[in-house]
Amino acid sequence: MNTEAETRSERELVDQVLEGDRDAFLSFIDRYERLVKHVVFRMVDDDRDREELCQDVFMRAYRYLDDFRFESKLSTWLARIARNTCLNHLEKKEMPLYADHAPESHDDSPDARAALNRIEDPNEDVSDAASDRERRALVRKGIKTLSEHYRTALTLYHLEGMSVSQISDIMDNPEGTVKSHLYRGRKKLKDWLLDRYSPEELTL
Amino acid sequence: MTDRDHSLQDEFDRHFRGDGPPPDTDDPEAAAYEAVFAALHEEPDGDLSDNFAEQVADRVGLASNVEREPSPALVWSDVLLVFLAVAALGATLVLMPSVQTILQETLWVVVRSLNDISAYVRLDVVASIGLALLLTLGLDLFLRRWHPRRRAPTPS
Repeated sequence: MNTEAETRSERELVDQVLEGDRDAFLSFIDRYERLVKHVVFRMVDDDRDREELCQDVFMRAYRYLDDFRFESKLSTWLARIARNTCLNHLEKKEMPLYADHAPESHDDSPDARAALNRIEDPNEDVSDAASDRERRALVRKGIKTLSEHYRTALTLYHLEGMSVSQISDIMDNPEGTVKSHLYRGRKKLKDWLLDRYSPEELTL
Repeated sequence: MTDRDHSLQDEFDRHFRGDGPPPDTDDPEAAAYEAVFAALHEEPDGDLSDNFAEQVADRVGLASNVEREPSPALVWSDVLLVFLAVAALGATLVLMPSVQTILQETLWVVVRSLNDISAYVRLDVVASIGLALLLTLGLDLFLRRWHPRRRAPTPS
């Protein structure tokens, strides 16, 4: 729920932005840039589109800010715009939204390459335990294979620390469905990891 | 989804939210969940450009606050324009032969025109339609002003 101080500060900022105060709008972006980036970067894999989409989210927010009635947190409203903008983009690109799929782009970080080389090299010594970084890199790759609703729910819950109720508002799903997305999404990632590492590699 | 999955997820969730001890990771399932939770708390790869906010502000067409402050020269030119407009209006009023005559002539032309038109058109019907349109417009404006949309925008 909104605290009174939070709402007042949001209201002051919104009023200043609506008056055309550029500095206030820059503060507004600064305050919510991380949230928008998290949603967009987790939903869209193509680097070329991500920044443009983040800009579109803020432009859309600016255009409709006058309609915001403070019935929810500004962050909830913005996250919904970010998600809808990404869904729109993914639909235009005819990307699969509701089925788990293979990653669209490769994670080229050294950790991800090391993790993938490990999987692809059957002669590698199994006793050589996978480093934590490698495992996490592989999970990040696994996240890209999840369908949109898992990615969004997991991002908002774990990265933004949002409550199930807030996420349910953003995704327009009942709270039970959001909880199910969270549990199932994490289990899919665990299974993805277990399919790629031997038990010894994981526990050593 | 087993009970074991549920309990492991709940334990790791509490731990990563700073509300519980780290669960035992001796078995592969727990170790895998540890990596999953750690990765989910990591920032996605990639960054926005340094001047991201400035670019957005430029795109929405917001001028900088310094630019929005009117310069003294601009203020004085506005004052001059107002002064000239008032002077021109005053001169017109003084120089006009008779405002009353002009008003009378204008009114006469309007009345005569209406009289001519009334031979072909039912002016009472036209007036009623016009009034109904004006009332509809007024009601529309009132509703927009006092009952604005409350939904977050969805992409078209």
